[in-house]
Amino acid sequence: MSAHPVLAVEGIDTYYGRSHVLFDLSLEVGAGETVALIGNNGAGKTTTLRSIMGLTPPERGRILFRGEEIQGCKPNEIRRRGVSLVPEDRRIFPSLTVAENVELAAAAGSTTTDVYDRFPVLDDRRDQRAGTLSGGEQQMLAIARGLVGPPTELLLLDEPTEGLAPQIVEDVSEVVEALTDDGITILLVEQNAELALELADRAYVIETGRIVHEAGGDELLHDPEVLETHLGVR
Amino acid sequence: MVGFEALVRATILGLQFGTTLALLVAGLTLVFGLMDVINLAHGSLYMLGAYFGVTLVDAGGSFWLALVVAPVAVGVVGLLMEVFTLRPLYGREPLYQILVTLGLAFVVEESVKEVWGTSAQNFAAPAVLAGSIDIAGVTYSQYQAFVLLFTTVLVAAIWVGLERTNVGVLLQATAHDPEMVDALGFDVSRVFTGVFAVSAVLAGLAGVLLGPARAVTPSMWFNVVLLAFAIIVIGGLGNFRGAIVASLLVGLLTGYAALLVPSYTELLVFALMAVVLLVRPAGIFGTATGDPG
Ligand SMILES: Nc1ncnc2c1ncn2[C@@H]1O[C@H](COP(=O)(O)OP(=O)(O)OP(=O)(O)O)[C@@H](O)[C@H]1O
Ligand SMILES: [Mg+2]
Repeated sequence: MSAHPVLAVEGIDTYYGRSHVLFDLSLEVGAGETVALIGNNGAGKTTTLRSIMGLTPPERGRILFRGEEIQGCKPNEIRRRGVSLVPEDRRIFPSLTVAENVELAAAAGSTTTDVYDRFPVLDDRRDQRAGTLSGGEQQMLAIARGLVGPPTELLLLDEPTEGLAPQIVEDVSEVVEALTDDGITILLVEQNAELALELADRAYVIETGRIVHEAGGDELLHDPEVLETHLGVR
Repeated sequence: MVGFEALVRATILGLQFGTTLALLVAGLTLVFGLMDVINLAHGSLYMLGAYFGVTLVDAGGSFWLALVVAPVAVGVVGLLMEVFTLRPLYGREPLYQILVTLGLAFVVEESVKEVWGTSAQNFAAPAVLAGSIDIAGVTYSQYQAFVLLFTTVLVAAIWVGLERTNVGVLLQATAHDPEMVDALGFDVSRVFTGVFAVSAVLAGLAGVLLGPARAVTPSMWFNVVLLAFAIIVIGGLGNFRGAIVASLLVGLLTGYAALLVPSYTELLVFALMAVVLLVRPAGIFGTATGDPG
């Protein structure tokens, strides 16, 4: 198993209709790694995750999960193989309760709904409608939902701290770190480059649909030129 | 002057028609709520239910056998329709699905003419229910009482199932965000096929139940689909609860109109639709987001 990286994206080109969004994009995530994908608005981060998840399949190139091609598979098959997406804007089911959101996701696989230990804030609110949760609570629910159901080996996190207060950002980072400690491989998309680079072992920088830089997290974080030119940070 | 008995009678008959309409529109509104498909062939599935039913009865089968077999056969037709004609069109503009389902409605009409001819079929109510029954001092046919009871139980079961069961939760989530449900590991295309097939079964069931009361002809689908759409517009497009409540309203309205102003029955239903659209454009139960009830 360790012969293959958990995820290998090899030269994919992805389109929305006729508009070409990802260009010959490649990246790899090894077992147990947390890898960040950072870039400006509209660079193609979400599209990369959607391509991997099978939601917007690439027209060229290959995507290998544990060495097996998944680029032709439907999202539900990809999920059952062990890839899970926590999408941008969370996309929880607002009219269902917290428990119903979790149970629904769990019903797609064999794992239990036992995520409440990890997310005590959800435990207290099982019968609350998900749409009435705070932003941070909704994000926790989205992550919890991504962890139940078929066993999750690779978690795709799309801007989990977007729009959250600093204290809540802190909570979300702790959850991400705990998941890493539990051996879950993570591909993390963030606008908050500093946070992403703190959490990640390695990072890719994406610009207009192309990977323009790859390095260890610390390296990028301490390279002011990278931060400025590629990310417009400070 | 209209007497008390006549009013009671109109109420019961209206309710009976209303609960059968609820059976008819339950599937139509679910299909719209989940798949965004305006199924103009829904009336044709109802018509097939009536034709399959009358054929089974004529062939010597009992009405009860027809009540089970005909809807299942309609379900198979619905399943084939979904897999071969609708599935390739999801995500396209609604016009594609409107054209395809309208085309299917004409195909079914012509096929029915080929097989059964153009004259009306005589669908007899089952002999066991040929007698009459008294409710609140008013006399009805046993068949009408049976239909009222049977459809009420069935519609209530569907309602509770959608609100309380795991399948109901799955359908609510799918109506809200099918792509996300797929990404959670559910094969949404199968959910769609299943819902469409069940919707066809319910339409077929309504066709068998109302068959003995109405003329079974190759063009019967047209008025039925118009009525069904008026109902789901009144209730709020894609809103399940709204569709059920609107069915009962339309049933009662039809019952009273038949008593008081018989020649204006259909006009009144569409007038109700127009009033609802003017006062509450999203329907009685509708929300701006089209959240399924
Ligand atoms: N459904 C769509 N149809 C057409 N173009 C799209 C669609 N979704 C995204 N795009 C375009 O694709 C490009 C990449 O978008 P994407 O959402 O992947 O960027 P992103 O890096 O995730 O941005 P953000 O940080 O704002 O979330 C953008 O130019 C965007 O306008
Ligand atoms: Mg994005």
